[in-house]
Amino acid sequence: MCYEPRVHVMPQGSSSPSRMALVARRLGFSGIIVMSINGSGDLQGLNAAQRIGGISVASGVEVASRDPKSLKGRIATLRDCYPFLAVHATSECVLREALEDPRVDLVVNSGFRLTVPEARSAKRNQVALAIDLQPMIRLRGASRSRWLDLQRYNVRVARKFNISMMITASPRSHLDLRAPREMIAMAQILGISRQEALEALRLPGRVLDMNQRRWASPGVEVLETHSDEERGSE
Amino acid sequence: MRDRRRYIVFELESEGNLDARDISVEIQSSYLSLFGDSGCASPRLISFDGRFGIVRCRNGYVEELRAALATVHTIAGFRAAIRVRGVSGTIKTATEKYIPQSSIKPEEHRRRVDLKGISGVIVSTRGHEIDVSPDDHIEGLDTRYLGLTYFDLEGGCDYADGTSDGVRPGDHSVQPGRPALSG
Repeated sequence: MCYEPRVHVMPQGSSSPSRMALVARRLGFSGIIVMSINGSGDLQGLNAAQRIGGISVASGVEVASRDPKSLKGRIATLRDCYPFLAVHATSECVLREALEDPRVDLVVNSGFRLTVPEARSAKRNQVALAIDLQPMIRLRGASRSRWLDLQRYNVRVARKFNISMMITASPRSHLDLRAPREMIAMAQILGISRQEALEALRLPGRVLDMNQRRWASPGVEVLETHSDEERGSE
Repeated sequence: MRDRRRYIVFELESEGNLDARDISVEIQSSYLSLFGDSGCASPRLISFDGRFGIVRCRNGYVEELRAALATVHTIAGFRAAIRVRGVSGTIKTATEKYIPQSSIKPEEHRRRVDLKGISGVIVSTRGHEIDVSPDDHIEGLDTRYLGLTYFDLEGGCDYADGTSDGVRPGDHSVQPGRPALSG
C-alpha cells in the first residue's frame, strides 16, 4: 500500500504520467500522486495513466508561492479541485503559513529547521511533513552532509511533536523513482525507524482516501443523499 | 575465517550503454560517499551483463548497501538508476531466482513521434515503455530522453499509434505492447 506522493511529469519533468505509473508499479508502489504546479494547465496523458491496471494514479496540486498572502488565496481556490494539496515552502514565512492551514495535506520543506511553534501548529492542523530524499540522491560530499544534519533534526522534531511524515523521492523522471524498500533504507540513515518509514509511505494513500470521501463537517460524513428520492416524491 | 556474504541482484536502467567498470566505480564511490572510509559492507561487483548485475557485500550490511545503490543517479555521464531485484546467500541462487534467463533486450527504433507539444525520435522500447529523444532541448531537464509509453501514443494523437507515418485507426497489424516497426 505504498504511495509516491510527489511525482512531477511533463512538462516540468521528462516522463509522461503513464511511464511513471508503469515504472512505479514495477517497483512495488500501489499508487502515485501526480502533481501539477499551482493547478496551471492540464496534465497531458493523465487519463491514459489512470487506465493502467494495478496502480492508482491520483492528481494533486502543489502550491508554490513566495509570499504568504497569495498562498492563502491559492490554497482556497485549489483545495476543492484536487484531492491532495501540497505546499512547497521556499521561504520561512510560507512554511509557517502553510503549517497553520488545516486545508494543507503536505508541506515540502526546502531547507529550514522546524521551530517549536511551527511543529505545534503542524500537529494541531494535521499537516504532514515531507521527507524529500531527492537531495540525498543528488548531492555528494559536504552539501549532502549539511542536508542530512538538517533532516535528522527535523525528523527528531517531528517525532517529538508526533507530526506525521511522508517520504518522497520527488521524481521528475522515471529514473528518479525509487522502490519503497530503497526509500526505507535511505530513511533509516535519517534516523527514521523501519516502522515509521512504512507508516510514512502508506500515509498518502490514507489521506487521499479521506479527502475523496464527503465530509459535511469535521467528524460527520455524508454517506448518501436522498435528493433523488425527494425529487421523486414531490 | 571467512565472512558470511550476501549477493544483491540489481537491474540497471540507463540512457546509455554502460560497462561493468563504470558500474563498479560508481557503486564504490557512492558507497564511500555515503558511509565514508569506515563503511563495512565492502561492496564488490561480481558480474554485469549490460542489464542485470550482482554485487557482493558482507552479511548484515545489506540495507546500507541498498541505500547506497539508491543514491546512484548518474553513471559515466548517463542518467541511470539501479533497481535492486533481490538478495541471496549464494551466487547460484541469486542467478537462478532473480535473473530471468530469457531477458528481453531493449529494441532499437528510429521512428518519429509527434504529440501535442512533443516531437522526437523513438530511441528504444521495452514492453510498453518508450524512450524518445526530443527534437528541441527542454529547459530545466537533466535527462537526455523523454520517458513515454505506448498508452501516450495511442490516446494522444489523431493517428492510431501517434507515430507520424500514421497507421490508421482500426488497423490491427499494430501489435499492442509496442509501436509498429516502420516498413
